[in-house]
Amino acid sequence: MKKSIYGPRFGCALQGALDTLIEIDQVVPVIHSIAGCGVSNAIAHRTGKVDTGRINGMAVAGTNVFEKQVIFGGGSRLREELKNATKVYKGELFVVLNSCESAMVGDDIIGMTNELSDQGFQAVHLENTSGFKGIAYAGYEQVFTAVISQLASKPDADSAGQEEHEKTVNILGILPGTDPYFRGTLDTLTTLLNNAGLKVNRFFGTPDGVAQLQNITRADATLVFSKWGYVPAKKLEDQYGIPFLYYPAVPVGAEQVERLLTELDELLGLDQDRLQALIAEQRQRFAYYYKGIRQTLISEFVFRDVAVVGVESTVLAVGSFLRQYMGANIKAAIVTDAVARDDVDIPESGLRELAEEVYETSDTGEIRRTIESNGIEVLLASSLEKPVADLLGIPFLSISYPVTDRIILSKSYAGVDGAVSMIEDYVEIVT
Amino acid sequence: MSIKDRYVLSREKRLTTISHYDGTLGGLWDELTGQEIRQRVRTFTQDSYSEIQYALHLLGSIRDTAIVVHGAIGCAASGIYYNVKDDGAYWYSTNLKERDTILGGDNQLREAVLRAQEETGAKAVFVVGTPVIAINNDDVSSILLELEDEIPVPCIFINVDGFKTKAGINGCDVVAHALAKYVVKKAPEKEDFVNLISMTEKKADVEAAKELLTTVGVRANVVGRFSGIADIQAAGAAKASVVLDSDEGGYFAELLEEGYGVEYIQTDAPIGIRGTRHFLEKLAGGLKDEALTERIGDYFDREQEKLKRYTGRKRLDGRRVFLHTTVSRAKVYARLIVELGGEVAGIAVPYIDPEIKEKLAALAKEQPELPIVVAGGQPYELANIVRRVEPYFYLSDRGEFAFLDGTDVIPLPLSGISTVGYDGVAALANRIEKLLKGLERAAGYGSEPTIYKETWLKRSSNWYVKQEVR
Repeated sequence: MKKSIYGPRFGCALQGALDTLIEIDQVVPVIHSIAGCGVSNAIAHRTGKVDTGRINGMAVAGTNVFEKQVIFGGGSRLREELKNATKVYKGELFVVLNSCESAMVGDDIIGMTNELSDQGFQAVHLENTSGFKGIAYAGYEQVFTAVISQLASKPDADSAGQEEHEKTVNILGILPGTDPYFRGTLDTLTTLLNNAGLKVNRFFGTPDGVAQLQNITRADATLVFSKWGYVPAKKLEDQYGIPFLYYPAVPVGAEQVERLLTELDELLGLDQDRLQALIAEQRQRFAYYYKGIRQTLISEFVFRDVAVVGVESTVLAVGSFLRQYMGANIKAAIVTDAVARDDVDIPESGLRELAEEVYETSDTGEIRRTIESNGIEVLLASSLEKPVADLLGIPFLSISYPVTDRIILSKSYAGVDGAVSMIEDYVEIVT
Repeated sequence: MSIKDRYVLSREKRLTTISHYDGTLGGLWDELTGQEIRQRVRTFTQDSYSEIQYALHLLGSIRDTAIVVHGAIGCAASGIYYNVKDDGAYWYSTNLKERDTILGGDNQLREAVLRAQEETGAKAVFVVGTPVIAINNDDVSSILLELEDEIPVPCIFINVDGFKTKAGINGCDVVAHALAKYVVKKAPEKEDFVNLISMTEKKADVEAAKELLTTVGVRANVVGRFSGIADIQAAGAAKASVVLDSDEGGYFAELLEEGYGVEYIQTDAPIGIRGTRHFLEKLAGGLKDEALTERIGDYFDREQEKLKRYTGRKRLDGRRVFLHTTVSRAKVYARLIVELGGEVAGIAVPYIDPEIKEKLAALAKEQPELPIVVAGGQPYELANIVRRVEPYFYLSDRGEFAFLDGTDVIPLPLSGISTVGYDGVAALANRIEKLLKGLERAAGYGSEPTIYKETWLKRSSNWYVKQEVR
């Protein structure tokens, strides 16, 4: 198996952690690295033409270490950077990111971060975000595991017994930056869970993101919607006894929404009247729109051999819905975030039951060759695969990062409304 | 430096380039004219483009090439965008892992280079360095030497690491040195074309410059961004070279002159009425081509009438404009602002050195009190300075404007237009007019709160700067 990658489609752990942090309001990330580690990722995100986060691109604090610090160590450079960052930025939480360079030099980022904490600032260190330690998605995982260890409040023993205690769930596994739909997906899930009578720690796209991070250990349950949320959820369960429900992908369509709500009810005991009304409303809503397209599915004959390319959670979400409601044959599922892990045992995703063939690669060349050799009739992938769709003359829809041919602000394929969007987009390209 | 040298020294060492200054143009002039150039060091910095990003930006737009970024996967992240946008090079990453930082990444490099050439048929393979292999002291050159017999095309190491210089533009120098030394071919005799050198320009500007030269009957061979390997190989046969931005591409032109006898004709950037005229007249003078001088004269006459429509109406109407660009371009934009009826309120440039400061001589004489800041990125300093200077417009070819949040300053972006040549004058005049009208209509556009503390914004913008200790 080749180790090098043609046409990279994601960054490193540092960049994934940065993607995560800049989307949490009032977080001030500080990169301890040479110049350019964050900017390089910001350039990548220009593909989407949508601004990311509050402090982004060249506005992110970075020590920009120079030759002298590489030779003699950059600890004191980080110390002065942190001290001054507190005087320049408005913000509540400072997070220090380690890099390849500082890890190889052996700078003490933990000690420097602790110095800041000792002075009364909220500060977290991410010592494992060196680019050579993992891909972008691992950066998300590291942010949440670090927050749980270093920042989160201890659960309040009294609150559990209070009758008026409002049940709260954490949402993990929806990744900013590398999931083009994360805003809309979080909105969809938050609305759904609020309607079921639950409070939600969504962390992103909310003014109280830092408070939600602090309260992550006080939630009643965690919902996980991709494998990248599994480790922090397990940590919450192991250390704080917070149960979690693991889904390898977001729910798409009424049936999956109902399953989610039912399992949540079994776990937390929801208000039955409210729950049943919500499930009925979701069913009715989906049925109404699906009826509108049902005849077209036959008359225009949309049953095609499809390839889906993207991270596992996207391939599953899109693939399983298209199979069940559009009659698509998922001929090739190409997963771009497959990583061999021996540190954790994450449950099987079920992808192998969904697709005729499952491929695990992020190499753009291999992906193109796989598509070319599989007799694919419809391609749902990233914009990097558009040229091969053009070459084959087959319908194409960009569904995974990077997406360059459309602007995605609140669009999502999650929930019932997301399923309807999926139907619209898919039928439009195949008919 | 010479084309015979194996690698390029950093701009700091070659040219005493500085990447921080905050004061008046007159003060900077005096300092750069003096005996000792003072290097200042920021004790707070924001992330910025390193030489690696500059090198990748340039290489990524060159057709028929493969880039192998020798480092962790994130070092090649900018390629995600350039790959889709520029339709230039093929991008590979050696995708180094923790184990490779201990045992070395030789095997991955070998694999990546071989497959890059085999899979793409690239006419040159560029291996771009990163801090991981620099700190680990991986011997890239030896591996490439070993591969010489297996690969039928040049395989060249771009020796950047991101920590030896604070002037990111140095990455373009490293690439230029490699292209001049290993790609350009010696020609038995000169041919009837000139090299048009571009290091960071966008496609629209390169195309507009080429079109400008074609209009006056000069065949241009684009070298650098948006060129192909064949164009670069042919650069040694050119009669002369002109550079779109001499701060950036002058080094390449000097190497072509030294190594291949291609005369470097130094001109202003072809921006604005006087800049465009200077560019063409200097070229004709350098080529000693009287027929060309005549054609250029005719061209000016034809264009003058059209230009009056834009300069006559004085679109800027006395408004003050802060310029954020390179020194070369600042010189011509400053004139253009005046031609359009405006006033220059201040300048931000990413770097400066005693040699290129000469381009600001006239401005320094006319406006010695003009605020100038030298900063690669560092929007926190710019946020502070614009509050002090209070310009009406902030004209930038850098593409970042978020630091204007919380002010009334209007960003004047150059995206989507070319400001090169006389058509560029019209394009900028139209942009100003449409921008003002558009913002007048867009009542909902509003303003975002700043991310910076008021205490910082009210401080001296030199607050986090100290003199370098030698």
